[in-house]
Amino acid sequence: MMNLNIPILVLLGSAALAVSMYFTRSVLIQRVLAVLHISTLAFFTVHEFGSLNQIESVYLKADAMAVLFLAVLTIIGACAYFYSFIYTKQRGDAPQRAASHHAALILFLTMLAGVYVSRHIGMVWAFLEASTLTAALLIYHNRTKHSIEATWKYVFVCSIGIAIAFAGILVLSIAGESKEVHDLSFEILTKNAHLMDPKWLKISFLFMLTGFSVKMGVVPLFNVDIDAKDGGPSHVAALLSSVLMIAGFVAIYRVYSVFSTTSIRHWMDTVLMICGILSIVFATGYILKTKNLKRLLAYSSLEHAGIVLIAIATGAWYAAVLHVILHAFAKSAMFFQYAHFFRLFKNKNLDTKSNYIQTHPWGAGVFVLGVIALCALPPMGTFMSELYTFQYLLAGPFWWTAPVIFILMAVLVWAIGSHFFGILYNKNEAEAHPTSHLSNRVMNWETLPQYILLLAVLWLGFLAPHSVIDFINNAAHL
Amino acid sequence: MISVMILLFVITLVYIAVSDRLVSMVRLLSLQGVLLFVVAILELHKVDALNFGFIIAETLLVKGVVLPYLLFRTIKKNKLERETNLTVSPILSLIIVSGFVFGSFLMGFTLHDHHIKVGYFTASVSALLTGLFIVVARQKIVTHVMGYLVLENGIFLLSLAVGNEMPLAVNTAILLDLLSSVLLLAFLVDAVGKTFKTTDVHELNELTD
Repeated sequence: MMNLNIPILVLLGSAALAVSMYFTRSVLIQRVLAVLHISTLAFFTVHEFGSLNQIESVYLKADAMAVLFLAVLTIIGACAYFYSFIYTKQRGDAPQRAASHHAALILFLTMLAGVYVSRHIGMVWAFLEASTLTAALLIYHNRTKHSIEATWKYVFVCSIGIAIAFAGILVLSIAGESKEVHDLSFEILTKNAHLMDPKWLKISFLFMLTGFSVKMGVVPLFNVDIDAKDGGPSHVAALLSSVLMIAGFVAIYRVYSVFSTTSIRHWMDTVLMICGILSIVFATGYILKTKNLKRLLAYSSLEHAGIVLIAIATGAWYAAVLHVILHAFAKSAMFFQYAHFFRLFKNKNLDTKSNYIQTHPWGAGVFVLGVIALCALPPMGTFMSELYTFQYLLAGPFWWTAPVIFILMAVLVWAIGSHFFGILYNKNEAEAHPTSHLSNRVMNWETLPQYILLLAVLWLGFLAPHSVIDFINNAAHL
Repeated sequence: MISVMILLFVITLVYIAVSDRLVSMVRLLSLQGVLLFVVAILELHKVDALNFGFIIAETLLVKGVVLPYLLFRTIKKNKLERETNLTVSPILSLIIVSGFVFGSFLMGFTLHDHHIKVGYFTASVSALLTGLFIVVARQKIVTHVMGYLVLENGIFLLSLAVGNEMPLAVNTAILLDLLSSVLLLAFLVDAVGKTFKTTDVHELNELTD
């Protein structure tokens, strides 16, 4: 019989909140339930911080990485609820439809919390799979042609990806069994991985990397991620680009951590480098080609996920963890602001002549700061995380890849910068009139979450105290 | 006896890959569910009541009855009969899937490990590859779902070959995953059919750059 401890209570409590949300028709009560859920996540984060590295409910354990990502999940989750309520109100969704969307949001965030705190590879898989199903409900919300196509592709490819990842877990199990290792928890695997047959470990790693890549949004299975972000609501795209990408990162990083004690370490680094560089190549190609602002943001996530893989492969683990957090904050801020932009101009074309800098200066400010963060320019924190990554890259065995990566990144800075420059300054009388009837004051207030997130990107990179840096270092420790 | 069942399973794989009648494909999938049940019963001698329940639910009930029923319903509802515009001819499919079986056998033989039987390994890797082949080579959305199910069957077979038991939560997740994914996919096949007026994957191209 499983003890009713805090993680189980959080899971059960969130399930109860989701059920209540589903049956609630009053918007006020829906908001109260959302606040309760965020409070639950915040409480869970604080509790896990207090009981660091203690095993709970057999299969769960919060290490520094889990606590760090739970904090990020709580912050971005709160912003997503804020935008979700604005979104359903703006669209005039029926209370039933809004309720089911918010209920799916509760379940989605809870499943991701489960991924972060799992200490068993099977449980990571189970929570990730559950996150696919809840994400599908979120992407499907609009029931338009775009959202149906995106949901179909997402569910289908994720199901295949996650099945392949499970095959990887089974192969790992075969490798473990031959050495009498029957427990697939990360601690036991880390202790015994060096005893296992490297060829089974290689097959297992390839399967798991392929399967989990769909969650992290990197090569090989990144395509459906882009479509899901384009076809779903913007606050859902923000979550997919941030906290779901982190979940995929957690799965890949923990597996990498287990296998890093074995002889296949250098081989894994090479595989991760290939996937990382290919992700940046695809991102560059598509960003140059795309005419769609939302897809541009999605492709930029592909680029940053590629950088994170390169950071892991080069041994810049602190930079990898820092970058995945900073990107989560910056990209979710950009997607939230995109929602704002779309509400004003009802257009997601990159050649929209919005003259945004004048029509909505506060929103334009978010775009400016966001672009600086996405291009990893100072004073944004992403500059620091990429700097650390490239220091390790140049000092390590893959230094010869640096010129290619630098050229691609320079092209990306130019492409992203010029696209946003057009949005900010291009003027056309016919298109420059915003379609929203909201007062400027309300619109300005709504940019507050984005500024807070971007401030966090600046603070974490340049101004974070030693205690925070030590904690991130601790989280990145293999 | 197990070898015979595994051989039958491999033969169904070849038939599924070659067949273009959707109803026959579903029948073969249902047969695979039953075969997996028999293999599981023969393989797992010391299985507790709970795990036994899971195996019956997953193989006989879900793979043998519920999923085929859902697929039949979807095929009927969307008035589908056979896979048209086959990009890979049946003969070529036969050669490719036979190649998968042969390759998997060679791979199992080369990786020789006394903890995994070559028969299981060959059948499960062949099913994995055949599932992916069906997804890549066929055009109907519902056929893609069937490809996914063939892949899932391969993974189930691989899990039988592995002695390590997964936590209860993982077993539950596998079962729920299979059921809910197919429910969701069947629902989406209908939704795509209604909205796009098509049952071909290649016509789902609204989301482009």
